[in-house]
Amino acid sequence: MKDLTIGGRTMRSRLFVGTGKFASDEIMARAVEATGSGLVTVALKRIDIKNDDDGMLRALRMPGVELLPNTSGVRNAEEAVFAARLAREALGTDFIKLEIHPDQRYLMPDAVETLKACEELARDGFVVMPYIHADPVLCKRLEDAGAACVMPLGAPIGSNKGLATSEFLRIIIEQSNVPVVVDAGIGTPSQAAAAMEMGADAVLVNTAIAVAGDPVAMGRAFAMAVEAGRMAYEAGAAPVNDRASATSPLTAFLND
Amino acid sequence: MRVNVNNEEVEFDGTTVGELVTSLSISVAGCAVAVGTKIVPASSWHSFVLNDGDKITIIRATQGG
Repeated sequence: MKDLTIGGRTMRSRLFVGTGKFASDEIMARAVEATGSGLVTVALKRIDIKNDDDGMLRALRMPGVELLPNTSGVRNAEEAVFAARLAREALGTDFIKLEIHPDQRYLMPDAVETLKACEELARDGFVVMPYIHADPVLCKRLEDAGAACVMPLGAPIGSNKGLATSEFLRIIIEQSNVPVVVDAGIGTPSQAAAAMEMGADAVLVNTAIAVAGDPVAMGRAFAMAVEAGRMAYEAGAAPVNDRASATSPLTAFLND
Repeated sequence: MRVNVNNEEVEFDGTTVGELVTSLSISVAGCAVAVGTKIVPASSWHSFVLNDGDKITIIRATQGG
């Protein structure tokens, strides 16, 4: 399969994973390992100075796994830029998953603030990976603003509703000159495979793995689905026909 | 000196970000510090002088998608 490169870094897998909602750091680490992912998202928090705990970061120290900080929790571009700069200082990475979703109910990304923040962060040397609605026009604007990829949503974060935006994802994939990473809403490996078959360059999955009955097995299942989906895309799918097309010879050899 | 760290009042002996961080019982791995809206790189923690009442933010990575 072809390599995927974002921000000059060749990804070891086309499956990116998030670290939220796992029952423990140990299960999270084992699940991440099972996915084979090389890019793992983390959020930022103010530390609790009375009860400090850095166990999560220690659990994620694995060879080949790079951390992708996000800006979750910010309300506008100014806060996002500040959070990105803090993340760069904390984790020593220029990669930033830019997400600005002030609405708590549906966590819909704010397109205007995201574009504004993307322009500023790209100018400042960040590898900007913006989380956005599946809006083809916005994707082109972000590309022009210097985004390293675009991350349109399949469905609301954590909803597990799959590729509700598939018609728009198709347009985005067709038009994009930067990698397209389908983020949010993917609930099952088959949905991840469908995104990859459609031509997405990668997918990001969190909830579907973290809250599965067996997160480690589900992580592996997603890894296989993403690989299968990508392989199928590169292999080129057979055309769809309205009428039957025989796969066996039609000579009536019993009745001649 | 008395400062505000992540919305908690903190009193410590010293004047620099480095001395403040040492006085707090925290692991500094993967942390970033800002004084007001100015980010203080780890290389400057020991030279960056604080003022009484400064608002300080200390963050670290946590679980998230």
